[in-house]
Amino acid sequence: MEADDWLRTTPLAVFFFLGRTVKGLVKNFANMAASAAGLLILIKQHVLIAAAGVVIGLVALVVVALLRYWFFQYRVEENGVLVRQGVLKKTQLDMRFDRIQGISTEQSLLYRVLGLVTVRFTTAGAAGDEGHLPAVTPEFVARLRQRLDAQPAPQVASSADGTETLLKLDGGEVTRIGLTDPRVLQFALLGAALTPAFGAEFENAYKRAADLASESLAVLANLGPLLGVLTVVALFLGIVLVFLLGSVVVAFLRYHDYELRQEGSAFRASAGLLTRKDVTVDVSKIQQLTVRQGLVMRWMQRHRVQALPASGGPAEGEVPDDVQKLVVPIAGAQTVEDLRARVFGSEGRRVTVLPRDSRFAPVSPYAIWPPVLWVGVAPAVVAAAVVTTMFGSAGLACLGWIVVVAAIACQRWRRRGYLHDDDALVFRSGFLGYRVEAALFRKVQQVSVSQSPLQRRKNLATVHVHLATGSVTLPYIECATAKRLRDYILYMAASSRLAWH
Amino acid sequence: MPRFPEDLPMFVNPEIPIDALPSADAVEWHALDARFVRCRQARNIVRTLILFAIIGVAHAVVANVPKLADVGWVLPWLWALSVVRLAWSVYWPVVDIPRRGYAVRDKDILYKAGVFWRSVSAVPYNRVQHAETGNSPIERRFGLARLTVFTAGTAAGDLRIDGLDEANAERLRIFVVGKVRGEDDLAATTVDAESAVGIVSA
Repeated sequence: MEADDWLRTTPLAVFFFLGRTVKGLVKNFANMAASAAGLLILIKQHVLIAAAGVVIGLVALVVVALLRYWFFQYRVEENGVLVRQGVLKKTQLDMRFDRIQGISTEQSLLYRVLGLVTVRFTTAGAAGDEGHLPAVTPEFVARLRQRLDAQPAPQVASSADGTETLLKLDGGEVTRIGLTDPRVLQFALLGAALTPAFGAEFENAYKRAADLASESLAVLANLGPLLGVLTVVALFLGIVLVFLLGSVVVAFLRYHDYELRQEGSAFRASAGLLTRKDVTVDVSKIQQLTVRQGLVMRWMQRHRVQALPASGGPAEGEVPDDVQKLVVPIAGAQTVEDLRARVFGSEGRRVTVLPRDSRFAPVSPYAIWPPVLWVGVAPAVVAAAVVTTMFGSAGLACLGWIVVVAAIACQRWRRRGYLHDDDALVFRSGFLGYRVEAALFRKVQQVSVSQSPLQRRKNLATVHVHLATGSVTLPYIECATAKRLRDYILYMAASSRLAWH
Repeated sequence: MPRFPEDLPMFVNPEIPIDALPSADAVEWHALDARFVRCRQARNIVRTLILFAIIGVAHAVVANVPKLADVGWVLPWLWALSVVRLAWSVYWPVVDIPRRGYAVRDKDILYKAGVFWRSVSAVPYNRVQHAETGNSPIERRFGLARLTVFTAGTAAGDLRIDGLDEANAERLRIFVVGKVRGEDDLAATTVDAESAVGIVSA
């Protein structure tokens, strides 16, 4: 691979390009919908033409994939990888080794059988979707990794060569990931909310069932109303069970055989049942550590950890979702603290990212006021006034909304807390569960202190800390503390001689 | 496990008494250009005129289509609201803009804004990705420009200063970019901050 001429990947990369072409088509949903509608009309009238259309479409897909494969060439040079691609619109991507933040690999089932992998480069520039090398051999990847490691890394000089396994997930833990997915609870609640909507149908079904039953078992007919309630409860439990099962299956697909290792100065996580993904993130590139603990996770005493590296995403707008972040789907308290210590190194030794630590300082209870006032009292009073004029004093029930909002605001206030030492800042929030965000002061990009009229009167302030991966907001802390914190963060950011990225 | 900064030839970081840190409050704020008030008023008036035109068209349509007679009662309210808006948009810049300001320090650039909800933002130079000046046609007419200092990551992390004198904005941009270069090149931190600030505030 030292040769100067351009290389093609193995022909099996065609499958990769086929997948991407289909993905591109699906993204253009409008096109798809239009052609599908056209096809439906055709099928109704001329079956043969429709079949021919489908065949032509498929052939076109394959041809496009073949062309894309043929025009995809790469070259490994002294100090980088060059990728040349495009059938009509030619592009050349120049990824220098010192700009590559990490190599991630993905191995679909087919590639696994054939012993091939797809490489994805994470660069600091906006390479976005293009930094791929499909269907190359694992040996090639290993050599690439060696090349990358050979690059002098200025901020982590004497990285230990040793590889250390930090976490391995067995079947039980992966099942737990599925069970603790907060989306299950959300969907189940949604299902519960929708159950009454189907009430009429249940009633009919129940009537028929009751008729049937009353013939054979007169006793059951006496239990009539109870049976109805039981049916609904059973149905709800059934829905929850189906969602849970689906969630566990998804967890196994994604996280089967999960392994987290530390290799020198980088974390490497690999997992997957069919398609195996392998993500490498350099420790020094990590900007932010997020720990989440939902209700069920809290009960099981587990956490979900995310480490976000500086993204090569667009300068404006949100950080894109497909950034190669390091995800630890489930981890006990000790693993979480170990990870924190490894990510922050010698810095941030005196903070914790465990949500239920007693060291978290609460924010001012005045934080409850604005939501109660703007989301609670104001709409409730307006609604009460309107409804009362229309339907009489029953409209006063609208004021109950204030109690609901106040309860939610109180709960959210109780979850909020912050913690910092000389190097790192930790902020906790949440409603039912917890969310903890931690970052090093020296990686801060911008810091601002703001005050609302209420905050000014109560001598409070809000600190917004902007990072390369988003922002952390510390609401309603003492004004003097906020200002001191800001001045300290500015001092740390300006004086640190360690690179932030 | 010897891996992290401990064993690097690192900068020394002695404990600093927090109260001794330079406070971002104790700076001398530069006000925005005085012309910016009139510039903002002009912009708001142009916007309100467009609004008037839209309401006028709507009025004409409603008056001529009998089917729409039922919604006719909305029109006087719309007119009234947009007149209030006009008055407000002429009045508000007079209150708001004098409370905005910026400050240039040796290590960072600060911006403050807000009448009821006040905020002070700061970007250290060594986090700046690039800086940009630009202006709209109305701002050009008043000889004004805005300076945007971009950091990595999200747009919320950028710092934008509107209503600077065109020449001043350009000088500020050059100063910030120069500072960024100075911060990048650790050996050559000899950018003469004092004189640069002098130029800026001149």
